[in-house]
Parts: sequence; C-alpha cells; structure tokens
Amino acid sequence: MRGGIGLVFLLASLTFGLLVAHYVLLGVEQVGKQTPTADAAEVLAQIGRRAKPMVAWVLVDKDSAQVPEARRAADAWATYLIEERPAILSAIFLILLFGWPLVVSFGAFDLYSSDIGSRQLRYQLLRTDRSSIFFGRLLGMLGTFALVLVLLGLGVTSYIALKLPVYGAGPLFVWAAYGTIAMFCVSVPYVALCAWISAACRSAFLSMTITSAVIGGVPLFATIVATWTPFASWLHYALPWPFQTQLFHPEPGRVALAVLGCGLQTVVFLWLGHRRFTRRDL
Amino acid sequence: MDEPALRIEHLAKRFGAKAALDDVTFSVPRGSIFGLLGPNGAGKTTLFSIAAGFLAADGGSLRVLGVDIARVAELQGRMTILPQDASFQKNVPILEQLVFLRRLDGSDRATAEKEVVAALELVGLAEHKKRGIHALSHGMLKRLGIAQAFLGEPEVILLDEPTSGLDPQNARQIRDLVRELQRSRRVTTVISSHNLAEIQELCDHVAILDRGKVKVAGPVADITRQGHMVEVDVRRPLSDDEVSRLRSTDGVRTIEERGPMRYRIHLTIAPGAPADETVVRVMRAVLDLGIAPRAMTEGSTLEEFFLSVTGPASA
Repeated sequence: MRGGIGLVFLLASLTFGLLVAHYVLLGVEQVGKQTPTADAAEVLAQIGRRAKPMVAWVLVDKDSAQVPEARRAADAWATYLIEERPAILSAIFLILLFGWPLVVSFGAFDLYSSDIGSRQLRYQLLRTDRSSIFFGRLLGMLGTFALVLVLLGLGVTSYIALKLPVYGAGPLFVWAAYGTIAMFCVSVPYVALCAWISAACRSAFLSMTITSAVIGGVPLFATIVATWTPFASWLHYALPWPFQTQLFHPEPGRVALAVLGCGLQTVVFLWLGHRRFTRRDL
Repeated sequence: MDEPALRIEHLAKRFGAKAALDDVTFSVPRGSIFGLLGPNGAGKTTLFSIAAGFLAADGGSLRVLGVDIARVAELQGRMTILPQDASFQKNVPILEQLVFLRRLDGSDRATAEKEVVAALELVGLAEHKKRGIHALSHGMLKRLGIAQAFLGEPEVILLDEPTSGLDPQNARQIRDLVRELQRSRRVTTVISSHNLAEIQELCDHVAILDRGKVKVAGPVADITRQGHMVEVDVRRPLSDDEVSRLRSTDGVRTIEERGPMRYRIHLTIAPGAPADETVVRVMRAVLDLGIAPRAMTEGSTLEEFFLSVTGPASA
C-alpha cells in the first residue's frame, strides 16, 4: 500500500468487479426496457430462463458434455445458481471467477522479485530467517487479497441492492459472503504460484510476464495439446481452472473436493517457492 | 583459546567461469578490528555476502562465532552487516524502516524506537528521521546503512566500504565508533575498504585478497614490518653529499626522498635476520651527520605492502 502498487491493485480490483456488476445489471435493464409492463422480478425470471442453457454449458464438464447424465447435472447446477440463489450475484461471481486468476497475478507477481533484484532483503536476512520472510510476505499478501475481496463483495452487493432491489438483504448478503470466501479460496493457490515464480525471479517485470503467461497459458496450452494427445488434458489440473467453479456447486462434497484441490495446489506451489527462496542467492 | 569470530577454510565461489573466491583461508580473531583489502574484483564483497548468508559458497567452510554459515539463522542478532549494494525501501520514513529491522531481532517497539533514534543521532541523521530515502544524499544513505549495522548488540559487525562517500568528519566519527565498540563491548568488526591509510590506522589485523586468493593475512604490525625500511623526518633537507654518505652505510639499499625533509631508507636484510642492527646502524649514520631526526618509522606502510603483493596496476 505504501509503495502505491497495492493501492493501484485495490482500485483495479474494485473497478473490475464493479464493471462486471454494472454490465450484468445493464443487460437486465435493457431487457426490462423491452418489456415495460413486467416488474423487475419477472424480468429476472425471464433472463434466467434464457441464460440457463448457457450457464449449464459453462458449468458442464467438457469431456463428458455429450453424456446425458452430465448434462442433467449441469442443468440442475444452473437451476441452483439462477433460481435458488440471487441470480445476478451468481452471474457476477461466475464472470469474476474467469478473470480473477489474472487479477491475482497482477496483485501478487511482485511478492519477492523486485526486492531480490534491488537487494532490499539483505537488511533483513541477518535479523530474521528466510522462511519468516517468505511466509510473512505471503500472509501479508493473502491479507491484502482478503481485504480487497471483502471490499469488492460489499461494493458489488451494495450496488446490486441499490440498483435492483428485488432480492432480500439476507439472501443477497449471505450469498455474497459465500461468494467472497469462495473467491478467496480460489485466490490462495494462484497467490502461492505467484510466490513460487516471484521467488525465482530477480526482476518484477519478468515475474509479472511469467505469472500472467502461466496462469493464462496453461489452460490454453493444455487444450491445444489435448487435440493431439488426450492425456495432455490432465495439464488443466496444474492450476485450479477446471475445478474452481465447483466452489459454487450445490453439493457440499463437490465444494469440499474443490477446496481440497486448491489446498493441494497451494501446498505444492508453496513447497517449491519456499525451497527456491531459502536456497537461492539473495 | 577463543574460537575465532570468523573461521574461513578453503572457501570457494564461482560466478560462471570466473572464480570470485579460490581456496580462501584465514581467521578473524575475536574482538579484533579486521581489515579486508583488495583491488576491485578481488572478492571482498563476495566474501562478505557469503559471511552474511546472502550467497552460498561452492566449497569450503565459513564459521561465524562457531556457527556454520549454513545455519545463519542461529546468528540472528549476533551479527550485523552494512552491505555495499543493498537499498532501503522507498516511500517509508527511515525511522520506521530501522524500527522494523530492529523489531525483527525481537525488540519491542518502544525500545527499538529509542535505539534507532540514538543510532541516527550517532551518524547525524536524527533530524531526517521522518524522511524517506529519496531525500537523502549518497553519503547520508551510507550513514543510514551504518546506523542500521550498529543497531542491537551485535558481536560481529561486517562493514563493506563504510567510509566511502563520507566526508572526513563523518568518516572519523565512524572509525571512533568502531574503536569504542571494540573497547567497550569487544565487538569484532570486519571492514573492507580501499582507504589503506584508514585500515592501517584502524585495524589490528588484515587480509589482502587479490583475484579471489588470499595474498597475506595477519596482524598489521607483522605485515608492515616485513617492509625492511625506515622513514626519517629531519629538521633540514639533506645535501646530495649527505645522502651519498648515508647510502654508503652498510645495509642501506636505496634512499628515496618523500618530501622536503622526509627520507625513506630501504634496507637490505638477510632472510631471517633481525633488522634491528641495521636500523641502529642507519640511525647512527644519521646522527653522525649532525642531524637529529624528528621522527622515525620502521617498516613499510600498508599501502606499499599492498602494492607490492597486488601489483601497482591494481591500486
């Protein structure tokens, strides 16, 4: 925050979240204008019916999209998000979830790299151990992310409550709180990945380039290579991309598996990052 | 007998094909002020960086206060360093930065703040304590680094080029502080410097590094005594005839004029033989000329010895 980068990140995250909320609500308003006789709840129901097949397509496991059972499960999941939960908030969280990993890379790429490059850490190295520096900064970064996500959740929810007062405050804020926790859960393995890459680089720019390329490039690479070698589709599981939406699944077991996946990846990335940071020349 | 403050044995470090340190072996006695000398690229900063745990050695061992440097965390609070090329955080007041560093040692905030203010006063930066580093000159940044190194109660302090960029008054103050720490708390200080006169004045032991190798290490007095020369200050310039008569004295090799009334007399001493007899003979010859010497120094300066082992081009 003091260096200004944290403040930029906070503002950028809030802008990103509020823009997503704004455009989702804009879509609702436009549909509302086309049917002036309907009230907001009817408009939302109408949009929900139209959007459900698309949401189900987003949620279905692409490898088994042709299996009827999988499609039925995706439909049920979409129904849960659109009908049983505040649909606008669900839509915003799903959209945010696709952009959030890249936002994380812009927030956490410089955990260590520029201070390694400028040798700022040298003043600390004889006063504390390397593990404390590594985990201390990591916890600070996770704290920043928690703060940003809480502010984002509050901002988006308040914006919806003001612009489209169709949901009760209770269900809206409960779902917002759940979504914020889920977003934080997804952030942790990406922050851990950034910590590993940042601990291996001496330049902040290099670290930013690599983190963005890895977070955006791994699913792309896995998809392309899987067209030749189906085995390569396992590469998707190097990052939380294939299971992060499961955090919004109605079945607690699926949510728990997604949390476990995030946890395992976090442990692996942190082990690699810590190993690099404690053994490298600083 | 005390374990040395630093025990360095066969230390090696390479950067690619270049050997920055090659089989470096010497010890730094506890409570000493130790000078580390060497031309640019000799490996001094690399050695400091390994001693502080910034870099890992490729071979050999380095123990500080009996602790292998691989376990550098055990030296927390016992050793501090003024690194040559480290930087402080921008946009954070220097008081806050030093308090943060002191608190990493385990000190509480109030004590840390009190110590930091005292350290900043010591180096003349107390009035700038609320400023960020952007408001400090190069010399002030150096003093800030020194204040940081003196925080706490270290047993060993490593100072990499501590007085470069400082004005004479501040440089003198730093030297006095190092002496005071040695006297009052028996703190071991290792100093690297290009200022050979400063090292000779301040240090009781030195090591000279050249291209990653130790050329010589030991007490300053022993090293400079190897120079086999006397320097004589006289009350009037010597005539050419008087210089010739002195040169003909047994054991005198050459006489070099170092100033209007200062002469350096290089002696020829057989290996292993004491220089005392020859020195006495030379002094008698000076007195025989009817000249009362104002001052006489035996042995070479550290600078001359340094140049003789590293070569004049490296100075």
